[in-house]
Amino acid sequence: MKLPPKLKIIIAGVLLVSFFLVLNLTPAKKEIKNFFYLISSPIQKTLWRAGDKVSDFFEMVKEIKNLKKEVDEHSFIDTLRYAWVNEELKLKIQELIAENVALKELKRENEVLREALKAGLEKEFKLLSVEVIGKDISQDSLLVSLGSKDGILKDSPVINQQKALVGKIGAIYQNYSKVILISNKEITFDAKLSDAEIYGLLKGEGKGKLALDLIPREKEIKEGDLVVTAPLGGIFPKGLLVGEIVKVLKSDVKAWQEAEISPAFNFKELDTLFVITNFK
Amino acid sequence: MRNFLILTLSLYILALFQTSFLVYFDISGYVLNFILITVIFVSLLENPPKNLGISSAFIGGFFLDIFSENFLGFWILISLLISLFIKFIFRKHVRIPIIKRV
Repeated sequence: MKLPPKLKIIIAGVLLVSFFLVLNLTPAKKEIKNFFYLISSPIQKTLWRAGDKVSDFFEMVKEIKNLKKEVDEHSFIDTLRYAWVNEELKLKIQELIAENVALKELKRENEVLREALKAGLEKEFKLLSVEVIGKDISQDSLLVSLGSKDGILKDSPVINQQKALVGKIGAIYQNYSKVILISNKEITFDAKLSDAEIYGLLKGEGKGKLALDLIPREKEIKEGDLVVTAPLGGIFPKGLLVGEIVKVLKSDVKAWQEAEISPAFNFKELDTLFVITNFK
Repeated sequence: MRNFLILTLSLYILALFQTSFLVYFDISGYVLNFILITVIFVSLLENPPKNLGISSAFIGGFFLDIFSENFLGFWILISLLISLFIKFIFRKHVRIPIIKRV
């Protein structure tokens, strides 16, 4: 019996959907993903580092353009002014060279401090250092270099060297794990202001955004206030830096006030992270 | 067979490029989806009796699923639907003169 083409397509579609349903419900999914991460991680790491460098380069070009624009705005009056601007630029270059040297010095100092901080962190928590090997901004997640065979457990908190909360462990594969960032829409936890007993519910808003909701109306909060994890809830250890209030949203019709939070970490700069293994 | 292998390798490299390199160049949190663009192009350019468009949709979707947080099959289904739409509906009713079928 020959089946009509439309029926063939429908049957193929149903079979395909069933196949994926079964695949997602079995451990085979994790095995397949782990295999591909294993063979792809060296290329991913190279591409990821290249992306970082190229994006840094474009940011630098943008800064130079802004500087030029700033100079141009002052230079159209007369040639004398050009000469003056030229002098000013020369000074600026000298200034930038000096700044560059100072920044290099700071970078070195920062590296030392990072190590020191790491040492400090290790006194407080039992940590596993992981390297970021993939980033998915649309899903607010990261792929990191350790997995179940290294002792990574689901839901373990993930922080950076500045003790800022980055997220928690989501899916775990044999050699790799996914970190769900705190900006992921799935994440909600209790948070408070660092210097006041003002509590709220921190929610991931997706695409790197965070919001602190359910803050009592009568409490005074302002831009620049730092937000840390609260001891309530028990999802994350208390006192980890979450971010900074960038906008307070108060409405007369709402019983609560809300605040937009800027995360304490820069998604593009996440490189080495720490998984807290002794929490809970 | 040769075309199929080239397509698989290209889609794999594109998926890696998209998920590792392009994340630094997002536009308001959205990254350009090169895999879907490739699937659309292959589906538009292929000769109707060939099935390279559907193959590219399946392979491209699979790689996107591997490197994303979604369940396995999410991108496969999306790209397959796009490819089938182009193959059976769009190309039947719309003729683009500049497109030369290969």
